[in-house]
Amino acid sequence: MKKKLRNKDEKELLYRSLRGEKGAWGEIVKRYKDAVYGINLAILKDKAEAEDATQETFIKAWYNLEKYDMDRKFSTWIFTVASNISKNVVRKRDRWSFLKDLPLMRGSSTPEEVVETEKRIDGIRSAVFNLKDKYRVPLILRYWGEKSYAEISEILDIPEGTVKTRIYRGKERVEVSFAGEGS
Amino acid sequence: MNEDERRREESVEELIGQEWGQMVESDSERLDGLEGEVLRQISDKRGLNPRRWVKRTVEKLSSVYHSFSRSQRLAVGSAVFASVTAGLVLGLFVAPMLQTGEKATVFKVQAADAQSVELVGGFSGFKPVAMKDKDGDGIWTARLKLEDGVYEYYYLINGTEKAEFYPNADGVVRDWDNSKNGLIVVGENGEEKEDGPHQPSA
Repeated sequence: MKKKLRNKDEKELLYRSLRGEKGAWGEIVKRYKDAVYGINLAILKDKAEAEDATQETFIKAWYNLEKYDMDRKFSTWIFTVASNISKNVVRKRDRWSFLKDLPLMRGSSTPEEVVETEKRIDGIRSAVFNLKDKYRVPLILRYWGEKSYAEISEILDIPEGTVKTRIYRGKERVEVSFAGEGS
Repeated sequence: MNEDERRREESVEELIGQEWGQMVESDSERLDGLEGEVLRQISDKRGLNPRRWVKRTVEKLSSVYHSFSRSQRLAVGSAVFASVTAGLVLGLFVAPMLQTGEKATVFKVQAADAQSVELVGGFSGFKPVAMKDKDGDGIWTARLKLEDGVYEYYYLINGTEKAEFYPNADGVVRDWDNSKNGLIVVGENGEEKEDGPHQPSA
């Protein structure tokens, strides 16, 4: 006689969201917030900014949901929205970059957290974090987001060939850097 | 690439995924309640955004219009002019004479256990309309002015749960996902629908 939306499949939640059901959209946000945050963090390298961008991603996506093609993967579409928002943040940040030197990661508030974070940012994580954006973001999308080259090309709006090259070179740099730390 | 190199490459790929996953997971507390904040921000703003609708419609019509030849444009222009003129004549002179109007229609549903109840239906483009239970008796009410016609509707309990109980509906139809929607026929004197009771979910 009645249904619980939280158990429903993604497509139904999206249809209901399109109809304006905020509860359904809340469920979508719950399911995708970590993934979207991860992509925003890959682009922004700043936890607080990634958090804000994640919120903005879901608000913007809600208002543009009619542009989403239901036959395609929702994750690819929401990552595209996230990537555009984060790129805009980077562009705005770049305008003011002469005012401050951004640390590797911000958003860790307590000294204990900072120490813990610094301890953990070694090895592969440090290598990934220190990569140039153009290598880091496709790598994260590929090996954490499990996206295909074609999907990454769509999300980042760059040719598929470029995606392959950047992933290859990024991986090469991580290996070199990682090997260097290990020796 | 030899076997060792391939294995090393695979291990790097796996480590990248794992490390990033752990970092995101360790930050998951930062995202607690994010969905609530998103919903708070989109509340009262959703629905038919008239500016966006007008903009998109104009864009679409413009692209169609520009794909026409000159003679087709002339024909379309004449047809639009004739339609607008006819619409104005009907709207200004004929409609008032017919005296059709909107009727007060009341939806009521029993849902004592609910924190919130919304009415969703074709009359509002399936945009949820908040129902009220001012006296706390568990009967939620929404009063709408509707044109004569047949409308699909259902109730949304606590923002997420589609409740399919329509004991007093004029009919029941299947929604796109095979769930049930009630039907209401709004006639000359408006309507009053009292549905329920709603059973709390297990």
